Amino acid sequence: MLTKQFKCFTHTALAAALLLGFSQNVLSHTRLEIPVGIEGVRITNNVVISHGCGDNTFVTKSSVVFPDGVDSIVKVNGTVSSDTIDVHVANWGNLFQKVLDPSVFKAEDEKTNADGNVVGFYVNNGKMPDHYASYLKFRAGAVLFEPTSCASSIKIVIPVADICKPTPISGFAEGKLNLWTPAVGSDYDGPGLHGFDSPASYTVTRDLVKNPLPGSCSVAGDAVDLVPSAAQINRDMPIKNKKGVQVWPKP
Amino acid sequence: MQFSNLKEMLVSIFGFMAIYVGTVSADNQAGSFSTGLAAAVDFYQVTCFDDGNGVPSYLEAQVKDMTASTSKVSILAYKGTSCTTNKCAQFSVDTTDSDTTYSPLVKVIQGSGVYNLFVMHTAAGADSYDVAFHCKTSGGVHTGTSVTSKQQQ
Amino acid sequence: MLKLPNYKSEIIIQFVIFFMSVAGFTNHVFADSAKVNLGSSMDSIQIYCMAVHGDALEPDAGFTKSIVKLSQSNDPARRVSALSQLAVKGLIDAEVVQKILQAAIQDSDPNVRGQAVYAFAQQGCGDLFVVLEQALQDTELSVRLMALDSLGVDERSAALLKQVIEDEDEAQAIKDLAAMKLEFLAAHNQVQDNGI
Repeated sequence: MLTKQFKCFTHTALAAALLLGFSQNVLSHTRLEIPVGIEGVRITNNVVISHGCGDNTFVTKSSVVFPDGVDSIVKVNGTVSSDTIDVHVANWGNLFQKVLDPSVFKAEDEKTNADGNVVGFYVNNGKMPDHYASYLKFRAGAVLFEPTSCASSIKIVIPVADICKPTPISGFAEGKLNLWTPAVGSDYDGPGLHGFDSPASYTVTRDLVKNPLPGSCSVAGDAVDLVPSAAQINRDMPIKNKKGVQVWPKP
Repeated sequence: MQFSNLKEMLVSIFGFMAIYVGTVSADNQAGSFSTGLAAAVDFYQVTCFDDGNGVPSYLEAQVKDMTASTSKVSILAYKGTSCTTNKCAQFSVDTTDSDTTYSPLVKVIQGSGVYNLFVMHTAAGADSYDVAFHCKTSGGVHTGTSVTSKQQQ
Repeated sequence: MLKLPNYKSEIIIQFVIFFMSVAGFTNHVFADSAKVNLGSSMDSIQIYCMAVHGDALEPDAGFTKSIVKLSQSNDPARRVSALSQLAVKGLIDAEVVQKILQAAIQDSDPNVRGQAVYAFAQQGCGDLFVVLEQALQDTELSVRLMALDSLGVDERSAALLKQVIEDEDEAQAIKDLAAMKLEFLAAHNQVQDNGI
């Protein structure tokens, strides 16, 4: 009888473990609800936090950064280019706006650069259980492609950090936070963590009817990526409260 | 859409704008000539697009000088190079201080796309300003308008 | 040689020690105060605004109330707004103007202080040069710009303008404005000399 009970328990435990693992794989990344948009159209979107940092953890804060285009990395068809984003986008800058929503995280604010343009946002004072998802609502503005560019799509890479327990940068570890950031050499690369080099992104496709590709371009056009630089991520990823005090990472 | 040069005014209106540097928002823009230099130019780009209210036909703009001083604040709105039928550039200056009235409203009719908006002042001074601007359809209906700050001096 | 009994010596010594410590503490406090006041050079200035009879506009009670309320706002931008509307003398009672300006020239926000300086000049309150000379020592560019902007076309103004232009450490914007005003002054004096 003991043996049978043990076997039953073992099978149940294995099944639970498999199920848990399967669940984590299905909902494993923080991503945008609408990952693809169209040129010239402004939409409401959401950063979707899919899970916490493990059993009995809660996501309490999240930090999101948008490439500012000032020193951002531009790739054309996967290769780093010397182009600035202005070669491909006619109106880059200040295209994102946080939509107020205190339903899960009680505090939030936009982050701005020296010119006053929004370069990210944060949410704070929340308690999202590990097995839940949360939506961070924001507005993505109308992106206009430069008519002379061969870009047929712009993939905007968006680093996100979901924090369960605030630590200094040296304390970043599984169970404390999830980093969905590009590996560009910033303090927030998160090597070894399960989200390494797996950032969220928003891709805008060109309106080929209203803004056709120039004749000198290939039929498919170019796929352009816009990635925040390490310097920008280091500057804009931290969360400072409304009094200017940095609450994450811990100093 | 209005640019308010007073970031604190944005805080009181929207409740969530912050910092003296200011947030560039779609309807209000806060700014000031922090360098004080006579040659200072603040530069914004306004994107006019169809937000469901119709295809944009023009950008209209005006400025309010928020600081009483000798120096007066002006704007130059500009788009395009086909300027025969419709002007590509328009200028407007607020000749009165006292924070109550805007400069004459000007209109640049160059359709949808990106308009350049320059804010200048007539002499050295630490002026602050409030720029009001709207993208509208040919029927005068407010349509999609967004702004980015490219230069602050 | 005067000899004091021991207990009197003790009292005197204790008093001397107490006096020295108080003096030292006071110096420390004042030293800190001096540091605190370094930004605003106008903290010790008293303002006197006199009513002008005859051609002045009658005070507007509603306008006065709104300006007073604005001037007391927690928002520096609103305080600046109040002061920028004090450009016209007479719409507000001189006593009220005096109170507003007295507080404003000591404001922690440099834009408020700067606008107060300009409003002070427009209102024609007394001892203008005392205020302007102090304002030209302010650590904030915006305040010094306003002080310069408020200078007139007299000899004393010209002397101050020249002093500013010759100051190697002064900001370029200040020197640009001073140069422009000196040029205007020269043209103005030329016109006067020609009897036009």
